Amino acid sequence: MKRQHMWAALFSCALSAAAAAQTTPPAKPGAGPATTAPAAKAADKAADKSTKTAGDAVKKPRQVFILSQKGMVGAGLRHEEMDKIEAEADKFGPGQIIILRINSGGGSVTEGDRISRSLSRIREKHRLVAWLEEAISGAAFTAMHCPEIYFMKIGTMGSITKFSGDGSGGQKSAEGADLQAWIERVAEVAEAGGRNGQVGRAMVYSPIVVSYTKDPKTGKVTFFPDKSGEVMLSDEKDNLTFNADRAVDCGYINGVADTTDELFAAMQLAPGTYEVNDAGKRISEQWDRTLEKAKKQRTEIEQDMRLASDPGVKSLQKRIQLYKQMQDIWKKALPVAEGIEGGGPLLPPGAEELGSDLVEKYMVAGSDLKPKIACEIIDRCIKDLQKQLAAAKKGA
Amino acid sequence: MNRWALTAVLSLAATAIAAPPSPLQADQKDPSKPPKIYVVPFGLDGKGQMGTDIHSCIYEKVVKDIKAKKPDLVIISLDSAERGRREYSGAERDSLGERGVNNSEDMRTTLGLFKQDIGDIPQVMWVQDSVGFGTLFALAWPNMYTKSDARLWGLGKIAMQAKSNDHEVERKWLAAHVGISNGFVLSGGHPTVIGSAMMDPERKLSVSFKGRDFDWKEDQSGTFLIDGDPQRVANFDARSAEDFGLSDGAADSLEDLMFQLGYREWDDSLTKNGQDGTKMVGDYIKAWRKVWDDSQLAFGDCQRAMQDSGDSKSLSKAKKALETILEGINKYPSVELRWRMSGQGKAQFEAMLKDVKDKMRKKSSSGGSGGSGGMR
Repeated sequence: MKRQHMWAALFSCALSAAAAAQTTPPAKPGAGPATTAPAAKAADKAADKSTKTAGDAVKKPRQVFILSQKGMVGAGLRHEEMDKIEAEADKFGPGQIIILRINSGGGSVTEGDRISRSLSRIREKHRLVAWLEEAISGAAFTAMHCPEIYFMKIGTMGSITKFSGDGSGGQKSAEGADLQAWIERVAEVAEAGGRNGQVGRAMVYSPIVVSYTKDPKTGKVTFFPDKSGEVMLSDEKDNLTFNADRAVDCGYINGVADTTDELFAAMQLAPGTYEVNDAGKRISEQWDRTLEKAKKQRTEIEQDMRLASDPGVKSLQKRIQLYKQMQDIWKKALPVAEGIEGGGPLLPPGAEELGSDLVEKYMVAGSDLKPKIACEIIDRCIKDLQKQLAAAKKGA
Repeated sequence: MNRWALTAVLSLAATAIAAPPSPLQADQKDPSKPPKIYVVPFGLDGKGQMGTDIHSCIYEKVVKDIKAKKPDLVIISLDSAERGRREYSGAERDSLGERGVNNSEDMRTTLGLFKQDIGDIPQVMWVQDSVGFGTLFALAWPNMYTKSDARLWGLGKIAMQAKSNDHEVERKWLAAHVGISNGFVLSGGHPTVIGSAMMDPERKLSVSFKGRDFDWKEDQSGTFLIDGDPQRVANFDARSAEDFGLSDGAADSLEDLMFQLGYREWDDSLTKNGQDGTKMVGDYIKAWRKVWDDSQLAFGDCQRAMQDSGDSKSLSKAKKALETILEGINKYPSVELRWRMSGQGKAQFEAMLKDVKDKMRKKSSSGGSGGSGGMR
């Protein structure tokens, strides 16, 4: 217990200077109907410019893209689909509306960095909205990039503690400089989204405290990096995770909506000024299908590998075929090949011996290079099998 | 007595007899008609395991049926206690396999079916008994009644599931699960401070009255202490749930419940004729549990067959047994879940089946008389 208090004191000293200045109210305090966020206003202006031409009295309805992002960050929730929806929205000019409907318990931190880059770019051009059913850990980090956040009534967001495997099947949270950097990273993302940074910090590290006071007349919310606010948002034991009630009360989110109709109303989208574009649905469904198919294929490959383990001609031929299928998964569904949701990288048995230099490269490579390296490793294994096959045929 | 006086007396008597209609009846399409009721069990006859007996796959069908039959009032009868009346009683529901499963995704699906798909029909939650994850459902409906001996116990399991050697990781998972689960508490219009105390043993809970309202506190400063023990989560029983405004009252029978709701007459034709959700849910629970039992027997058959000499007959037996298991898994998510709880997954059975089929193929291609069983 003593050690915890020491940590708490250490961090509250280090962070209080930065956090004390953050007493500005969030973009949209209060539980009432959402007002348009500054970023959204900028996007609106851009849209007005792009859609009004000389003699063009009628404004084109804005496109609303709803991109469903569910499952693990890095598998079902990825920057690739966000980039695809960005490209679709760009076709209509700036100021379109992109809604990320998030239901995820978190996942890969490195994917979080890529998502961060994508969303930071998208929000400069379009009105970017997060609509949350469940946004835990990396999913909360994703949502905080959006200038507007809406919860479903049952929604939740927070618990952004960073951890990794401890090497013995357990989990180890970030410490020291790594922890400090992550705390500040989350705070920066919160602030860039127009929100209080201390709240983000409290989602990362439980000893960090945040409270707030709400002016009953103006609704202005002031956050405090200690217990001096009237409402305790997160004490020194708590890892902050919002539910809709508190999140709305302190103005951290813009409103609550269970259905798209409720969401559009909360976003103050006037009928006739927008149309729902099905590209979001198409893109997310396409990826879901790819993911499901690849998962099934991976299971089948792993099962068939066990059956084709003897050195006979037929088994060798089968294994070559299976290795080629592995390459196919690396090209089409990286998260499944990487084994993000379990199982580890999809590589042939013995790959470490045949491609030890490449395996080393693989371990330090970014996700963009991993498929190429993995396919090279598998190529070597295929060549080795082909030699064995030739020998087996001769012997036969 | 003159005529006017008689009229006055009669009208007074009539007023006394005819209580004001239930607010729920006022929401009906035709408030003058007695409401047609439809009962949906969430757990039945002591079988109420969250994640199996209570699963969205059956409620999709029930909600479809409700839409077709258009009742005026839906009564959700919750009986989901993962612990017997006496702690460690050794009863069937105390066995590990009968413990509730934390599947918030599926619970949200079920909740959405009732709150969105048929949200226009008045609904009442009637708690027979609730210990564990079922309590989240109990609290997710604002109109809640309990049986007089019902428990409304917390979810100590959440803290157990979050346990980790790393303090911060533990706080993260605990906060995440409490947050996710508190979504249900909020959905029923209750303060999340209650939910937190029912899930996190370290959270205290007390309550004071503020006029006619309740002022819940996350500490012991309230007039009534609900939970001050850092080792246990907050629990309620029927009495305390009613006293502190979580439930609207106690009702031991459907008639009691209808009276409590302010109805003096109602149409129970669906309930009496097995046309409500009771039969559907009951049949489902019996069916999946039978498939689960058969599935376990099939697994025993499979193991015995695999240990045999490996002749065509035993391979054929193993194949049949594995097909039975997979058929059950594909038909009922509950069966799949039970297998997962016991450490075996669908992929494993599929692999075993492939293996058996492969062996059978090899046997037949090498000249075995597949299926002749001991003739040579």
